[in-house]
Amino acid sequence: MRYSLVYRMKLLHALQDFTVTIERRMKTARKSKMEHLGRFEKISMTTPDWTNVWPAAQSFKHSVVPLPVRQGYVKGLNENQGYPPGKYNNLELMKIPNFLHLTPVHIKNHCKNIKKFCTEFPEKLMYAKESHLKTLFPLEVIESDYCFAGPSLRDGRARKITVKVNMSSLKLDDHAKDKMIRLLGHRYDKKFDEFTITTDSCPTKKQNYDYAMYLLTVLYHESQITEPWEEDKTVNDMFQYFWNINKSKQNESDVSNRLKYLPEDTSEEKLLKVKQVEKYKDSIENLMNNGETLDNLDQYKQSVLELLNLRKTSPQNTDVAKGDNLDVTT
Amino acid sequence: MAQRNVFKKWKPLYTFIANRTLHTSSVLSMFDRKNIRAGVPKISVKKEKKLTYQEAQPPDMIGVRKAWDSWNSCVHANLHGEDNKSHFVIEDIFIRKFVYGTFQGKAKNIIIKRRYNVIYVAGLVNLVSNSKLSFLVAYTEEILSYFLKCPVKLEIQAILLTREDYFKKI
Repeated sequence: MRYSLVYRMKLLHALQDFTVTIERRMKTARKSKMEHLGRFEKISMTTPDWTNVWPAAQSFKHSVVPLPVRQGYVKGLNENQGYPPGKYNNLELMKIPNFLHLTPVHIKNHCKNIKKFCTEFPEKLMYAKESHLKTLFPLEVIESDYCFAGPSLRDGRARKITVKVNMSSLKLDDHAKDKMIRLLGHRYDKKFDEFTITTDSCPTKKQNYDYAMYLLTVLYHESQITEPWEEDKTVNDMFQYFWNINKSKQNESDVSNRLKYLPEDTSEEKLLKVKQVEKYKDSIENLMNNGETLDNLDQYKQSVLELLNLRKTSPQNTDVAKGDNLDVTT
Repeated sequence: MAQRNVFKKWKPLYTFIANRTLHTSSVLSMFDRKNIRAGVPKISVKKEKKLTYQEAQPPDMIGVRKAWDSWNSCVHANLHGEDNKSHFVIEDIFIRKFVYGTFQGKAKNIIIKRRYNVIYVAGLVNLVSNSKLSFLVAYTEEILSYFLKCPVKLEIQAILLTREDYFKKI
């Protein structure tokens, strides 16, 4: 059966239209796949354009990052034909935190924009020693802020305040310093001569800081005051060993009192002429030359006691067999 | 004969009790992975089952070959002394269910990252239609922000998967 020309023309037109639409659909399909693959080929990561493409921290995007990155473990030819999976359709690459928002280009930009808010570091502080800094800044306040992922700013740990003060900067006299150290207790560090006050009992940081300052002032003023009961302080209560009030001074004064019989100018000639020294010399010579006998030893002992002025009276009885009847004064 | 049968029937109970023992076996080790059945997909007969990289890794490879799905959520990467662990776990579950539902099952493995106040939801979606995708993304962002009381940003990537886009065939 032969179709009419009109019918044949209509068929042909319809067929042409059909092929055109098919071609167009295929083109668009190809184009869409290529389009959402193609952007990365147009940009380089070293140009300033990269900062516009990747301004902030983002998950990895295969269509944007120009690097031919692969991620994934492959055991054998069975898995992905032996190749580690590419960046297209790779969830692993998206999971990992990336630093594509902090390339050198980015950082240069950041620095350029922050620079106008910066001032020079004070020159006098630049080369200052730490000891000098401590005299310039005697009070040190330590506070912490916490940032973390979450919908709330608040963190309970942020209310803590630590105040460190150098003791020498407070200019206290001896009594005040002693009292202050007693009041501070374990907060005082002897090695660095500073004390630390930590407050976290109040709910806010400001309140804790005010409380710490209040404690400081109270400590300072209280240590200046002398209470009447402080006079009961004995030698055993002292934190430090003061030689003047202790036994050792007494001992020393005893010894120097004892040796007062010696002449004032202690030249060698005069010393040798003193009776006690001569006696001591004789007793030693006796021991060395004549050996050790009971008599010799007794003589030596008495000469030493007399030299050191350890006896009140000279002995009446030289009978050694009766035992020791010498008084040793204390 | 009858007597013997009766004897068999009326066997005293204590013989069973006395014979009871503990059955022990060798320790199930991780290296002997053939014995482990949890989280491992079943092998098909004709090797026609396609697996993605995520599905192909067994659960003991999390942290080794497979990274975590939720970051900074105090679930695993938690700094000392921080709160809100349980809060974030429940939020994560909700986000996953919500996104899975709105994207009609095309967004299966979601990555949830928290950066300060913002929640970033990243994933791969098997959709190419621009209008559909943009609507769904905007919708989820808006609704999740209202639910979770903080900004939620989606970093969804559209993927066209073909027959050859698989990791492994089992």
